[in-house]
Amino acid sequence: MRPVFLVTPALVYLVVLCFIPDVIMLALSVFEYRDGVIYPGFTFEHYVGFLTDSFYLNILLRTLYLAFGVGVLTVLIGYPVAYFLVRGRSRFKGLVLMLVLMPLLASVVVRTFGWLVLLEPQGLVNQLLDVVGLGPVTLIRNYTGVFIGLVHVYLPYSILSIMASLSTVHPSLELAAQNLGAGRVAAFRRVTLPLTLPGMVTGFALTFALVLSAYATPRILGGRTVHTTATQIYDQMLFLLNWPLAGAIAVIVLVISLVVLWVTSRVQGKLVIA
Amino acid sequence: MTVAAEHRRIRVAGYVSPTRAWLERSLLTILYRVALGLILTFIAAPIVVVFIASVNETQYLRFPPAGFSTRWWEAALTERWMGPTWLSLRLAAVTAVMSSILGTLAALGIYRGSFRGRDALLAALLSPLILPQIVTGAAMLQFFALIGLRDVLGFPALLLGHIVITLPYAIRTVMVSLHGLDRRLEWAAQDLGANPVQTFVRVTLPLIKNGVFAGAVFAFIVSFNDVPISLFLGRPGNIPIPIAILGHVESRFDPAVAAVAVVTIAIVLALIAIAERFARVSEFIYQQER
Amino acid sequence: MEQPSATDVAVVGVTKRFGDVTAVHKVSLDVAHGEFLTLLGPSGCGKTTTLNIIAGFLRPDDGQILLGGQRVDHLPPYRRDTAMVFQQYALFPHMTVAENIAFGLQMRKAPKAEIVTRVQRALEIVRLPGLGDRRPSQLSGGQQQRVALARAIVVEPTVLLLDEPLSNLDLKLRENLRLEIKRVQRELGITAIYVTHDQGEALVMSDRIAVMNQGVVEQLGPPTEIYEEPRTAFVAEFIGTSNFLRGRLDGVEEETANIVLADGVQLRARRRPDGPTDGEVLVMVRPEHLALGGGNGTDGRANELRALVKEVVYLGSYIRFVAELATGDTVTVEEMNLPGAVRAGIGESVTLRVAPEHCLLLARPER
Repeated sequence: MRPVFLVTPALVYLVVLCFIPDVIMLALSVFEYRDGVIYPGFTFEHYVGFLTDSFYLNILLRTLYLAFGVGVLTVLIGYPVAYFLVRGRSRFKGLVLMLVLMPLLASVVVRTFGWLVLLEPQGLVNQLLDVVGLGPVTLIRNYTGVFIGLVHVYLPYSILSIMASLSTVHPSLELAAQNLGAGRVAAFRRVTLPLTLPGMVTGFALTFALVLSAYATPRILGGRTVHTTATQIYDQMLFLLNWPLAGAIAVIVLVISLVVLWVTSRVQGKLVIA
Repeated sequence: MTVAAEHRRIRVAGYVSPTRAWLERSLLTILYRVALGLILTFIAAPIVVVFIASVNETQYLRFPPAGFSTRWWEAALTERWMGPTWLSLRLAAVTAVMSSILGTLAALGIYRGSFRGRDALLAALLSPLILPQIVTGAAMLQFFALIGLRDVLGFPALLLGHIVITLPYAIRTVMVSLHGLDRRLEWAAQDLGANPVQTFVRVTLPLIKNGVFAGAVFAFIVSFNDVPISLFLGRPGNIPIPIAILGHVESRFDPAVAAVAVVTIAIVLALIAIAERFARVSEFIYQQER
Repeated sequence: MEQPSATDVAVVGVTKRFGDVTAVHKVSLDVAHGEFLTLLGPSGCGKTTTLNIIAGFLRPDDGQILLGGQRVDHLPPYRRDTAMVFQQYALFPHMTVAENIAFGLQMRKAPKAEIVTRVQRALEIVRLPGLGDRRPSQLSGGQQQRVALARAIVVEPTVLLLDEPLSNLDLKLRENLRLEIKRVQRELGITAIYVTHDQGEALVMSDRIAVMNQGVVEQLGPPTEIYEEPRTAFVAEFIGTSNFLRGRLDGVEEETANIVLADGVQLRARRRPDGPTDGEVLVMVRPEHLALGGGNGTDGRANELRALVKEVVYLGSYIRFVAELATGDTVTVEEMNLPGAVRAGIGESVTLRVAPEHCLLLARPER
């Protein structure tokens, strides 16, 4: 059998159930929408509306801001963990790796629920803050909670990206730098850090893109007061039934994600995917 | 002869006392370990508290815990929660099988093929990984509604949607194991008289078994934990467990959810433990993510 | 060679364990100023571990390291005046060749102008002038090797450490570069410790060789001594090719000994003053010292062995015979391929002759 025929079932499947629906969504996003009814047409009003209406624009900007912050923080706190997992010689390495991979085993919903337990007004975190005299602080139904939850949810992606990058840097390079007189900090800063920049950028870009379409965490920890692009897509789809607008937001999210991932891929000369 | 034109020695940072050397070494190490400890606590905390909350006596978890109680578990192990859990299990199992079949065939085709546009084809097959899943979910809902198939919402639509997002994972894991496959082994089999089907069954499949298996496990886990697709494609009374939890915790705080969450984690861990007996799956999952 | 004046590196009773395995056991070495010392041994013998301990990458469990007379075993690598050439070169891939070479000088806070001239000079010394702007990935393996060497020598370390620097190169390049490294080391008068498992490299390059086995220095001496006067069966076997004849000591004189082989044949062998005095022993004979006799003619002094030719290997400039003695021991004989040389065919019975001074008495290792 010709190899190409083996690919056909999967390809047909994806065309019918993924690519055609995407095209339909794209088409719907330029249809007209009046009083809950969709009319065929060609208009950019939903895009223009979303990008000019201060309510929606605010949601977009806040989501981008959130995505940026989460991306940066996951890389910053993911780095020491990745370093430990690649370079460490501890016997706890296996355990830590399991801990890091845990998110791949537990649903986002489950982990975010854990944060709800921790962050609620009288939860453990507030109890702790109270002890040191800093509490109580409102940590749920606002951006703070969403931010913490998202960092936790997407941290593994950054860790794994950095690990991938770090494992291509031979440990002898850092030793060579020390051997030539560089202190541990200098050796890291001059050699390891620049060489793992690609992994950090990948981790950031992945996280950034994923936050734009993250639904469960903002919903659970943000309640109905925090809106992100993803919750907007959902609300427009299922509550307001404004499918053209939902489609327009989805396309905008899609485009931003693709641009971020595409730029990253171009910079690094390889494909970046979740 | 020297390296310098005019001989002048340039020295390293040089000698320090043993105490100073020890301090230099320890301070940085301590700093690094403390940071690491804090980050790992951050990672572990929400999972750990879910376990504790599920057996904590009071509704809100305080420190120290109030006492042991099974009442949340009693609430969790009812049709209200076990219905969606059972649906998720069936959904994930069928998704895993379907994705593996389609994915293995596709991976073999791509790997063997030398046709033009092979790379583009692979990119197309993996593209659901790049598309935001919530977009895919919303698009599928619009699609089913527009072609008049609202009736498929629920299990059938969920299945169709989950295969879309798990297929790329299956393809990728099988591709990984194909890369480690020596093509000459198949040539040898054919040279010894095996026809293509026999070659596949007797030689190729056993050699890529680990990859296929890992792909199936991965598909199962992704499906079982999925939110963004399931969000749109379920119907009342016919929703998978993550969506049931999501809908519930949005409105109120209920420790029964903690018990349900523990059940879902246990299911996934049990699956991996079982799968690990047949093939080295965990390594693959790890590799895949890298 | 100029008489070594001062000790640059001293390794004193260094021991290193990894879990239950003792990688290095009470190793002591002195390396004189300007000396080229090689640590030679099979993989896992502890030679690289020793080097890493000197550089400071590993901390010894016991013992001391002195550089230029000062204890440094508590110091981190960046406070030790050593420079290493790594096995895989460990060139920084994100820096140019010049930046790589400048790195150590920058870390030593050398003035900019000085760095520029020194880097130029180092590139000239390793014969790579004009390649400073390249990236390591744009260079061949041999060139990368030279850059690694330049990067190490440019800081003028108290000791240059080389960890199997040629093992990733092909044979031709290896033979070329070993002479290059030796030349640079000699011209700069730099003290060097070189780790290798290649006896050829060790014999060609070294002032002294330390043969290591299972974490212990078995013998330390100049190449000629290592080859001609091996102290243990391990050294004899590891350096060059050796034949070992098993026998029992039967009378010891000051510098000679009588040995009886299992089949009753008597042998006279050279004995070192610290050699074995009785019991089961080995007699070591190099293949080139065994002469193939047609079965007649003896000068009455040489040892004579009867053997059966099992295999004949034609190697161009010489011919190798593998023969079996009546004792069951197999010996290798190498005869120069000269006109009129004695030839023997497979299955032929021959007499092998060897002078007593070429038979070296060794203790039989405990197995």
